Amino acid sequence: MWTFPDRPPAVKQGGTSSFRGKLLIAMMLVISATTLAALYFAQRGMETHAQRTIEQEFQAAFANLLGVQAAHRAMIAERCGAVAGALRTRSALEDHNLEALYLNADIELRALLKSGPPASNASALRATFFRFLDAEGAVLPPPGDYGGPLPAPLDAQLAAAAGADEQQAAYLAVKVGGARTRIDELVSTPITSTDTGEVIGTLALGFRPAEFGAQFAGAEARSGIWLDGRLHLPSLEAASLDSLGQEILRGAPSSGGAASSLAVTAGGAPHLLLYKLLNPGSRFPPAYEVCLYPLISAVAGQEHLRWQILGAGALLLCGGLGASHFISVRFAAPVEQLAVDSAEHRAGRERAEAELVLTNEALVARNVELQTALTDLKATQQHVIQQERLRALGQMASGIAHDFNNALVPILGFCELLQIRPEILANRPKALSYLDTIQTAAKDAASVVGRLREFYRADKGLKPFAPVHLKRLLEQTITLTRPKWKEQAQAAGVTIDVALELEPVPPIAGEESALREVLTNLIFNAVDAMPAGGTLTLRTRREGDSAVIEVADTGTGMTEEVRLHCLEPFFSTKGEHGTGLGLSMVFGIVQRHSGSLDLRSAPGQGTTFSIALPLMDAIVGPVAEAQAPKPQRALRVLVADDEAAVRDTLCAILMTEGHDVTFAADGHDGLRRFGAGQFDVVITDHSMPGLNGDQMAAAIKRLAPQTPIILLTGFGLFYDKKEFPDIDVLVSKPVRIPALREAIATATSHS
Amino acid sequence: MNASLLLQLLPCLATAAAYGQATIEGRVELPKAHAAPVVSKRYEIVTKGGVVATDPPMAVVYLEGPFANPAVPLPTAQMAQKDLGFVTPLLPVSVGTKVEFPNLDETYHNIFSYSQAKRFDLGRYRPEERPIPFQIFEAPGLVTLHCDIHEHMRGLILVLATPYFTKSDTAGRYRLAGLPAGRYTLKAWVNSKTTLERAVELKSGSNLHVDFP
Repeated sequence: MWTFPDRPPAVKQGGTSSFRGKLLIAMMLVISATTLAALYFAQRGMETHAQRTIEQEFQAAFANLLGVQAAHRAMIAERCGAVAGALRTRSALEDHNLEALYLNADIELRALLKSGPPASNASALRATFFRFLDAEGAVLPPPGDYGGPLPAPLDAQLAAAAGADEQQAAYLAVKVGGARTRIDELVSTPITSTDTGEVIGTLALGFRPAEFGAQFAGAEARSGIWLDGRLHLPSLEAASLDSLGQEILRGAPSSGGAASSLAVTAGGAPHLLLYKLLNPGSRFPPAYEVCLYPLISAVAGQEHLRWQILGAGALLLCGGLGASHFISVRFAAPVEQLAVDSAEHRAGRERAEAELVLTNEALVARNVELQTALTDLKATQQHVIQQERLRALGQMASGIAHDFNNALVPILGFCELLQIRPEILANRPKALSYLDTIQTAAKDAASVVGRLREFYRADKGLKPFAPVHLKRLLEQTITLTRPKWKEQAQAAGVTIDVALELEPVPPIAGEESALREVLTNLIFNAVDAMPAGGTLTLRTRREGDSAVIEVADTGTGMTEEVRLHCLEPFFSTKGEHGTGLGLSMVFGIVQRHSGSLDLRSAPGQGTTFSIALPLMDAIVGPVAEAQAPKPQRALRVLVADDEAAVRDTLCAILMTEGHDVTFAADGHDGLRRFGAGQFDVVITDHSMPGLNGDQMAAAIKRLAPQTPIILLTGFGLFYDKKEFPDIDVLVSKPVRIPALREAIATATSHS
Repeated sequence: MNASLLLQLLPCLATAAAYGQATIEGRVELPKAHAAPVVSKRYEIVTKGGVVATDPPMAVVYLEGPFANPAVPLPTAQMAQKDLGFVTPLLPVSVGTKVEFPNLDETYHNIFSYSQAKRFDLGRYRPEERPIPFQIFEAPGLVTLHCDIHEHMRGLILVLATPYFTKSDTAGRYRLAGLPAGRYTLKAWVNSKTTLERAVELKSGSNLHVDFP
């Protein structure tokens, strides 16, 4: 195992204390910044608010002033309108009757011109003069002193009113001795003809702007008029007037007639200047009402406010710094603990990760080992399967030898009897009965050898399914396994009865040798399960589209556990005698046949295996048809065999079948005769001196590739046809007539 | 006495006729009517017959020359107020003609003039005012009449220093007959601002055709 030095987590004391310091500094910075920002914004906000409040106050006062002045002006304008619209005024002007004109107007306007002393009532309507102008703007001279005194420079300025078809407000500068000027307000009203409705003249009425300043604009305000680039504000010195006048000139065009404000400096003190265009749309020069509000008190108030805010900010800052110190101490403690814990955690994690890497490597190595073991195991399995098969073969070998000897006994016996007593041949019935016995015994011997062949063939790859007759298969198998259930059992002193309950069933599709292996295994198992003897029952029956084979014994039966596992590979109850592969092979083969395996068993009750296999008819798809022997036609046959006895037998059989037969004593002879004649089929022995059977076949195939060749061989069951590429059909000796007939039919059907 | 004056005058006229009287006719192109209809509703309360429609423009054509004032008294002309309007709104008269201003409405009228030719103010008077208010127009010129109560009312009296004048019809056609031979100025008054004139020479029995302009 890997081990790690068990060192304690290295946490420097200096690290945490510096953390505490950093935290403190950071918090102080944040608090300072926040406080400063808050102070800044609070101060700015309050200043703005205070400024706005003051401005709004001033604006309201200014609007008030403007409103009063507008009302004043409107009253005068209305009076002028009445005079100008009067019929007598219009007709007198039309007829140029100046006396009537001024007389009438004087009657209407005298009240305005002559009312009370100016100081007593500043807001009273007080006109200074009125004049009529003709259509060109020239002043129509009043007879006598009607119309009041007209200040000298004004008569020229009045001409601007000529031709206007609406009332106009004008502000005119009047020099009042020296450099002083006064602003007179003027209302000009057009007069229309009684005949055509055209403007034929103008009534111009001059009056003093009402001096409402202190009363309406606010106590500290100073109001005045801005006219023609000059500011007329009585209580302000000339320098300030000029500079303010310039400022208004810059701002005025953009104000568009609305009330506007300017922050200005007048007389060294900050002021708010409000102004508004008085005569929008007038033909006279634009004039602005101007109001100047001192901001000194507001500025002082703001200064006071600023100090208050600063004081509050300082207090806030001190409190915040104290709190940050306290909080940093409080927070630093758990963080220091956290640092210690975190160092420990990291060490632990690194250790665990290293272990994990090692474990992973070990797992990979183990996996490789397991792969190798699996490969070995597979090889072993193949080997074991082969051994199992050899063991079964060995078990049967003794039986086969016994059977074969048994078969030979009557053959040899009767043959010897006939040799010793040739007269018996004259006794025809007796001779025939001897021959029958010999034939039967020989057939048995052949079948014994055949059994061996079938067993051997079981290992040859997968074959296409062909029709399998279960009855015949079961009969064959029970015969084949006879040494197991009869001879060996008897040798062990037990008796096993075999019962065949075979109902006729239609053929199934399958591989006969594989199914035979299945049955052999099941029979062997059944016999092994009956160590004290019993009954082995084989049944066949039909269930729907399936044929069912049952192998039942009356043996010891299986426990539940065994029953559950018996189909698994390498599961065995036989100890050293079993491989544990038998039933698993059975299961595999049944599955390959699309069948199902059922197992009923209980301890002491015996075991019954049921195998259901689909019937031939139920199988979809082409299945190799069982080829019924066709009626033979007469063939030209070349037979090559070095043994005369075999040759004669074949000759007799083939001629009996009606074929035309030609003999050859060996390979060379056969080749020569083949070249001399024409043959439908060639039958040749394998082992022949000189040119053997397959060599001759090769030579013949070179001459005539279409000619079918049948090879007879005593070793047929040990060969595979693939080993003889030139041979069409392989037939094992001893040759039986049906086999020969079938071979010829198969061979010729190819061509 | 009147009859004897007439008898004295008649031979004069007869001699003029014996010289052969000239005639002028023609057409004056008139300006389009500009007078707006009266819209003021307050008059409807005081009048039953409604407001008199403004007359279409007409011209006054007259012959100016060194004619002596006729010694005989001239006939009295009338310019009535009816349905809040002057009937007729344009009245040409010779110098010295007496014009009466009868009030035919059932309300007060106050006729006045500021014109140079004749300034007067009749003051408020009722229909039954007797004698009928009048003025004698001694100076030639245009007299614009107004009513101080009804501002829309406007009347014109054209005082002419000639006995030869006529009013055109609304299309501007006029005819002046019984004119003496000689060289004169023919004038056409179109409105208060426009008076057209043409020198004419009239021969006895001639028939002149003059169009303005």
